[in-house]
Amino acid sequence: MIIKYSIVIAALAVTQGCKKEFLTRPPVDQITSENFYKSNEEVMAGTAPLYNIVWFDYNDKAFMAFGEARGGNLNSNDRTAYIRFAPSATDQSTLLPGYKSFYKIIGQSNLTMQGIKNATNSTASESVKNMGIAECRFMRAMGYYNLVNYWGAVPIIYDNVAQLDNASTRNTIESIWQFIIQDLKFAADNLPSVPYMQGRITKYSAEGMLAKMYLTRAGLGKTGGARDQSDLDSAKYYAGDVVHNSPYSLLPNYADLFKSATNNSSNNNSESLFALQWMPASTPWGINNSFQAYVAFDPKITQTGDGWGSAQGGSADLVKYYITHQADSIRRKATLMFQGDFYPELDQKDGGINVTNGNISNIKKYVIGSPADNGGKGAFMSAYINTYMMRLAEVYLIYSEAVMGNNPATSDGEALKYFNAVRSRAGLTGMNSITFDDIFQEKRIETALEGNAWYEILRLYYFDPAKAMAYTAAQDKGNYTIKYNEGSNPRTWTVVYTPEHYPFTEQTVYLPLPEAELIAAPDLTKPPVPFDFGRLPK
Amino acid sequence: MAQEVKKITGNVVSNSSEQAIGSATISVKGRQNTVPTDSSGEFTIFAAPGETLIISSIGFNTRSYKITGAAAKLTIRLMENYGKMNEVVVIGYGKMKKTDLSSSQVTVSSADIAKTVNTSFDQALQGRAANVYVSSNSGEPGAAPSVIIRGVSSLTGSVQPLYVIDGVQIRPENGSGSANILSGINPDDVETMNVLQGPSATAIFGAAGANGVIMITTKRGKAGETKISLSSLVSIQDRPKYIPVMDLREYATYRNEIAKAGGTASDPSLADPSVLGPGTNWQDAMFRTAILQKHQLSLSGGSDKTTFYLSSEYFNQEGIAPGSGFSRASMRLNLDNQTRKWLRIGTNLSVNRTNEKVTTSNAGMIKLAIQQNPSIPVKNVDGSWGGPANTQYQFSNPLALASINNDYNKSTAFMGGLYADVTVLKGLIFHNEANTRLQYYNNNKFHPSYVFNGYTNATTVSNRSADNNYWWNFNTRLQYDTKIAKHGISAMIAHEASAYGSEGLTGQRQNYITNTIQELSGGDQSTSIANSSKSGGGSKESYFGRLVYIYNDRYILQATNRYDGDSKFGEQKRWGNFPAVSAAWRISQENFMKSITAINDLKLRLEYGTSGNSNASGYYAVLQSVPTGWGTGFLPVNYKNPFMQWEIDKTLNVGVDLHMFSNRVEVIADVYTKNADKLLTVNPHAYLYGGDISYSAGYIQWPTTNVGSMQSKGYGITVNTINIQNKVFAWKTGLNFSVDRNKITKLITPINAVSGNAYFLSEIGQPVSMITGYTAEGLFKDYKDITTHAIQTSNGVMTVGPGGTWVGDIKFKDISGPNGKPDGIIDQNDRHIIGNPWPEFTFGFNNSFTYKQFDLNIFIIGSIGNDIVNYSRYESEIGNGTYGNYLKSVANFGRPSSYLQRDSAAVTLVNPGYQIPRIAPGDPNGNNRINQWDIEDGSYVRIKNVSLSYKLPAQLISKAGIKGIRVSANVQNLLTITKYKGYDPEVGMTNYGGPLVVGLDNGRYPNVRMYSFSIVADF
Repeated sequence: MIIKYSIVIAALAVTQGCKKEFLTRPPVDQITSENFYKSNEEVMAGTAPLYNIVWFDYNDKAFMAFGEARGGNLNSNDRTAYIRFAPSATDQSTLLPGYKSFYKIIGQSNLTMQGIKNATNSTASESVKNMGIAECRFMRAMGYYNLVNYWGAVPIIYDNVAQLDNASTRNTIESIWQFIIQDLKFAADNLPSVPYMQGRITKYSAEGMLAKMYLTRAGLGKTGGARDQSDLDSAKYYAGDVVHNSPYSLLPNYADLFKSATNNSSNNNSESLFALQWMPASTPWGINNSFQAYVAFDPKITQTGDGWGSAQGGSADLVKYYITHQADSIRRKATLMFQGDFYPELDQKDGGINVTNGNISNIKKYVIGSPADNGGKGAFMSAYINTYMMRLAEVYLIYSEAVMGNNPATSDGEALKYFNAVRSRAGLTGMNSITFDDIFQEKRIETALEGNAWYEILRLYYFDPAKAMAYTAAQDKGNYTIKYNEGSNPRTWTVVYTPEHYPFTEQTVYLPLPEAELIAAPDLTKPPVPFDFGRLPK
Repeated sequence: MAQEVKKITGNVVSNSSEQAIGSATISVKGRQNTVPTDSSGEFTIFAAPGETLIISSIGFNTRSYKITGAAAKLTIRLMENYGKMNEVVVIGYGKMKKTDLSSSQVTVSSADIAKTVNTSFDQALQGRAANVYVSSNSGEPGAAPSVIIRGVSSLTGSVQPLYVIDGVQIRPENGSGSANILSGINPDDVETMNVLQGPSATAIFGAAGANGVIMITTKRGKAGETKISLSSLVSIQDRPKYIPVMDLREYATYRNEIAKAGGTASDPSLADPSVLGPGTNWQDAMFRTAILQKHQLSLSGGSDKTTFYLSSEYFNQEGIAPGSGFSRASMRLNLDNQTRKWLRIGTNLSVNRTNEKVTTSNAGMIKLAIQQNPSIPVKNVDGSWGGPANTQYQFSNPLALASINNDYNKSTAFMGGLYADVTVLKGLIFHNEANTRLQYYNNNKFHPSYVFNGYTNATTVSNRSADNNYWWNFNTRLQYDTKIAKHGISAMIAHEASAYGSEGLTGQRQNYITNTIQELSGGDQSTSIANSSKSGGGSKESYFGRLVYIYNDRYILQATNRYDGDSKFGEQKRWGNFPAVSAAWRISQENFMKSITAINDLKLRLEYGTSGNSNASGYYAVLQSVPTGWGTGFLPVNYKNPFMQWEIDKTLNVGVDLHMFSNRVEVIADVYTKNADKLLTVNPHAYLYGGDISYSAGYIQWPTTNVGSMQSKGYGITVNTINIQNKVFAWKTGLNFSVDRNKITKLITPINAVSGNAYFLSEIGQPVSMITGYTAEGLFKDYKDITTHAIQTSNGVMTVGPGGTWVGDIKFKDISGPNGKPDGIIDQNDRHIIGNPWPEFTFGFNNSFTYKQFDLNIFIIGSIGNDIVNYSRYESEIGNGTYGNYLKSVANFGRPSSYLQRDSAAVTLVNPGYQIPRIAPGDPNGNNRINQWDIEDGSYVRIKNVSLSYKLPAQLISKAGIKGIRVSANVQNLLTITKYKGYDPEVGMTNYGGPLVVGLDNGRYPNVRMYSFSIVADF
C-alpha cells in the first residue's frame, strides 16, 4: 500500500519540470536576437538603426576633427591639435570616441548580420535577407573605410563574438582595402536599384562607394605616380554605371542640399546616395544630429540653447580660395558665412541672420536654424538634417578622374561632361581640358566641410607622398580677419592673414591609436599582417 | 509476564538548579507512548512496573528510569548538558545530529536574535557568527543590511548569501538601501538561523551556495497545553551626534573671505557677522527622537498528533529623519500533523504587509541637512517654508522636502509551503515539499512643484510602479538512515525544480494641478512618456544527493553532489556539477582519549567542495528600440555569450570542534581558502571588439564572461564558555573572531568604479574596491615651494598665480608618470591606492549574567582596520560652492598673504599647519582631487546592546493565571569607540555599487542609540 503511494508520488515528482523547455526562458518583454529578424519587416527594422544612432560619435566631433581639421578646411579653437597634426593619444573627447565609433559600427553590423543569417523559422524572403545583409556589409565597409583612412593598418573584425580577445594584431592596409571592396561588391550585387524605402541605400550607393574605393586603391603603394590601371578601370566601370544608369540626379540648387526641407530622414533628395538619417529628437541619445549645435555661431540661430560655434569656421586656406575665386559664390555662401552676408532662412522670426563677425568666417553648411525655421522639427543638439556620406556630385568627379586615369590631363567628352555638370550647378563656366589638380580642387570645394577633405589628401599620399605633403604644408592654417568692403558689387572682402603652416610627416599621416586601447590590446604595436580571407564565413 | 499498567506521575527538574523542566518528553521504551511535561515539569504517563521510561529534554542528557513496584510520585533529575551535544541541527535539505556534522556551520538561536532590537532578522546576525560580516548600508528603517560570508566572491554580481526560510529560497541583490524582501519576516518567528559556511554544507545548494547559505527555521508548536505569549516593545531612538558645521556668524565670516579671495561676492546682510545670530541649525531641525514599537501575540501548542504555532505582529518604526519610517504587520501559521503512522504532513503560511517611507533617502536629505547654509530659515515668519533667494548653485530645504515629497514602498507578500513525509520502511522517508513566495510591490513617488522663497522646482512629477513577482519550488527527496552494528549510513537523493518571475508596470506624469491627487490620473496625459511594462523570469532544475557514512561514531565521511540546470545559460552550458566531500574524526571517541576526562568532545574536520554562481544575464542578446525615419528600428544592446557558464567556487576548509569541562567550554575554529573561478563579470575589453562598458550612443554592452578569479582566505574562531554556574548566579561568554582576506587573482583589465570624485580600483593582486587617490604633502608655503615642486596640473604647464597654483593650494606628490617614474607632472599617473575598505578583523563578544530572576546581557561588536572615504566631510571642506555650508574646521583655510599676481615672488602662507586649502575660485590647482586626508580609519568597537531583564516570581503572578512575565530594559548602540568623524562608522556597501564601491560615506543615514522597554507575558 505504502509502496504503491510512493510510486505514484515518485512518478509525479519525476514528471515535474523535467521537460527540456522548462529551462528555456528567453526574455518575454524585450526583443532578443533569437526572436527577431524573422520577417521582411523585422529584417529591415534591424538594419535601420545602422543609418543613425551608431554613427553619432563619428558625426558629433570626430568627422570635423579627423576629416576637415586635418584636411585643411577648418579653423577652430578646439580642434587645434588636429589642425596641427598633433593630437594626444590620451585625448578622451574626440580621438577615443571617434576610434570607438567605427568599431561600434562594425560590431553592430556584424551582430545584425548574424542575427539575420541565424534567424530560424523566418518568413523573410531571400531577397530581403540578402538586402539586409548587404546593408550590414555596406556599413561595415564604411567603418573600415574610415579606420584605414585615419589609422591605416587596424585589425579586421568580422565576428565580434568568436574573435573576442584574440584578434588584436593589425591587418595590412592592402587587406583592409580588399575587405572593403569585397563587402561593397556584395552590397552592389544584393541591394535593389531603387531604394526599398526612400533614403535607404541602393545598388548604386554601393557602386558609387566601390568607385571611390577603387580609385583610392589604384594608388596604394604606387609611389612612382602611375596608378593601377585595373583599379582605375573598375572605378570607371562602377562610377559609370551610377552616372549613366542610376535614378539619381543632381539637385538643381546647391544651397538646397544643406537645408532640412530637402535633406532629412523623411525626405532624402535625388542626389543623396548615402546619408546618415537623423531624427528631430534625442531619445535615445544618438539618433540626433549634434553638428549644428557645435558650429552655429550664435544660440539665436538654433533657439534651442546650443550654437557654440562662434570660434569655428573655414580655414584661412579655404577662405583664400573663395576670395581668389569670386565666381564660386554659390557654394561659398552655402559653405561659409562671410561678414555682411544675410541668411533670411535662419532665425526667421527675427527676420533672418546678418553676419557681423569679422574675426572668422563661420560655418554655414548644415546650419539650418531653429525648429521654428524648419516646420517645428528639431530640438537641443538635434538639428533635423541628414549628413551626406556620398552625393552624386562626388561620383561625377570620381568618374571624370577615373576616365582620365593616369593621363596628365584629359579632354574626354565623358570626363568633361560630368565635371562641368558639377561646375555649372555651382554657377561656374565649363572647362575644355582638365587635370588631376582641377578635379582635386573641384572635389575639395564641392564637398568642403562634409568630412571628405583628409581622405583626398591621403589618396594622393598613396601614390605621390611628396606632393601630398607639399600640398598640406602650403595650406595656411593661421588666423585671419575678414571685412566686407561696404558697397562692393560684386561683393568683395578684405582679408588679413597671419599665416601659419602645419605640414604632416610620415609619422603623423595617421592618427595615434588611443592610449586606453593600447593598454587593453598591446598587440596593436606589432607590425600588421595580411588578413587570411579564407577564415571568412561563407 | 507483563504487569498491570499503572498511572505514573512525576516531575522533571534540573540537577543543578532544581528548577522545573517544562519541555521534557517522557516515553516508555519499546512503546509508542510519549507525553510532555507541563510548564511546572509535571507529567502523567501509563506504564507497567519493570518498564523503562526515557526522559529527554533539549539541553540535558537523556536518561532512563526503570519503574519499580512503588507508585509514589517520581522526581527525575536531568543532568545539564551545556554543549547541547544531542542537538539536531538543520542542514541543507535535511537535519543532522550536531555531533555527526563534518562541515562548518554555525547556529544562531532565537534567544540570540531576541537580544537586540531589529527591524529585520538579517540585522540580528551582526556579530553573532564568525566570518559573517554584517554592515548596514543605511540606517534608514527597513533598509537591507549587507551580509558577506567569508569575503566577497563576485565582482559585478550579488555577494549576498542564499536565505532558505522553511524551504523558501531568497537570494537578495546587494542591498540597495530599501525594498528589503527579508524585512517582511517577523524576527520573533525565527527559531534558529543556521549559517552554512563549509563547502560540504553549501554544496548541496549547488549553484546558489557560493556566497554561503543561511537556513532559517521558524518556530513550530509543541504538544501540550497551548502557550499564549504576549509581548510589547517600545524604543526611543535618539538623534545622532551632529557634525560640527559653521553657524551663521562663522558662515558669514567665511563668505566675506570668499569675496576677498576673488570668489562670489558676499551678501550685504552677511557683511557684519557680529550682529548676526547663530542662524539655522539644519541638523537639529532635521533630526528628531523617534519611536519604535512592536507588539506580538503568539500561540503554540497542540496534541500528540497535531501541533501548531500561530503568531501575529505589528511593528512600526519612525525614522529619526522625517520622511522615513517602516511598518509591518505580519501573521504566521505553522502546522504539523501525524496523519498516519507512516504519513506526516505540515505547512507553514505567512503573510505580511510592509510600508517603507523613503522620502529622506530619495532626496538625499541627510546630506542636505549638513550642506544647507545657516542663513536659510527653516520657515519664514509667515509660516511658509524657507529657502534661498534663487535656485542656481543653491540647496533646497530638506525639511520642507521631507514634508511635501511623498515616496514610499509598499509590499504585500505571502511566503509558505507544504510538506508530506511518507515513511516507506523503517528509516526510509520519502519527503515531498512545495514552497512559494509571492509579492506584490508598489513604489510610489510624488514630488510636487514648489517655491521655497526663491528656490523653485517648476515641475510636479508623480511616478507609480507596481511589480508582482513569484517564486516556487517543488522538491522531492528520498532519505534513508540506518545503523548496522558500528556502521551508520545516511543517504539521500533528491530532485528539485523551481521557477521565478515578475511582471511590472511603471508610469509617470507631470504637471499636476493639485497635490491632493497624487495618482497618475491627476497629471497631464501628454507627459506620460515613461510608461511601460516589463515581464520576465527564469527557472532551475536540479538533481542532488548526499551520502553520510559514520563508523563507530568516530569517523564520519560525507559526499554530496548536485547537478544544476539554469535557464540563464545556453543549452551547451546549462548544466553544472557541484561535488563536495568532507571527513571528520571524533578523536575524543578513541580509546586513548577516554582517560582525558576534561575533554568531552574533540572533532577534526576536513572538507573540500565546489559551489556555483549563476547570478548574471547575457545569454540572450537583447535589442533596444531606435527611432528611425522608417519607423522603429531595433539594435543589439549587449553581446550575447552562448558560452557563458557557471561561476565555480572551490573551497578547502579545515576545522576543529572542542568541548571541554562538562561542555562548559566550547571552541570552534575553521580555516578556509576559497577560490572563485570563471567569475561572471562584465569585463572591459579592447574597443576594437566593438563594445563598451558604459553607455554611448548605439553601444553594445560587453558580454558577461567567465573571465576573472578571486581568492578568499580566512579563519574564524568561536569560544563559548560558561564561566560560573550555580543555583543563583551564572556568567556565560561568547566570543567570535574573524579574519577574511580577499584578492583578485585574474582579470582582463582593472576596473575603476567612480562615484563622484571617489575612485575605487579592482585589480589583480589586490582586494576588491581599493580606494585610490593622490597624496597631499601639505599646502604650498611660498613661491619657491611651488616652482621647485612638480607641476600640479595635468596639462604640464606651470602657472603660478591666483588663477593657477598659488600659496595655500594643496601640494600633491609626484608619484609616477607614463613610464612608471615621477615625471614632474601631477596627473592620473599619480593616483594610487590610499585606502582599504575591508576590515583586518571583526569580532563579536557577548557576556550574559544571570542572578536569580535577573538577566544582564552585554553585547559588543567590532570591526578593525577598514578605511572609509568620508565623502560627506570632503564635500563640506572642499566642494560645497559658495552657498553650501562648511565644517567649522574650514575657518582655518590656507591664507596666502596676497591674492595678487604681482606678489607672486613674495607671497607666503600666513597660517601654516592646517589641511584646508586656500579659497580658489574655479579650483585651478585641482584641490578637489581626493587625497589621503579624505580617508579615515573606520575601525570601531561598539557596545551594540546592553539589556537587563527581570522575570517576575511565579508565586506573584500565578494567581492572575499568568505563567511568566519578563520585563526588560535595553540600550542599543550605547557606545561606539571610533576615530571616524562622520555620523556612524558602520558604512557597508554603497547603493548600486555592489562590491566595486565599498567604504564610501556619502551622507549615509546613521544608526543611532535606542532605548527600549519591553514586556513579555506567557499565559
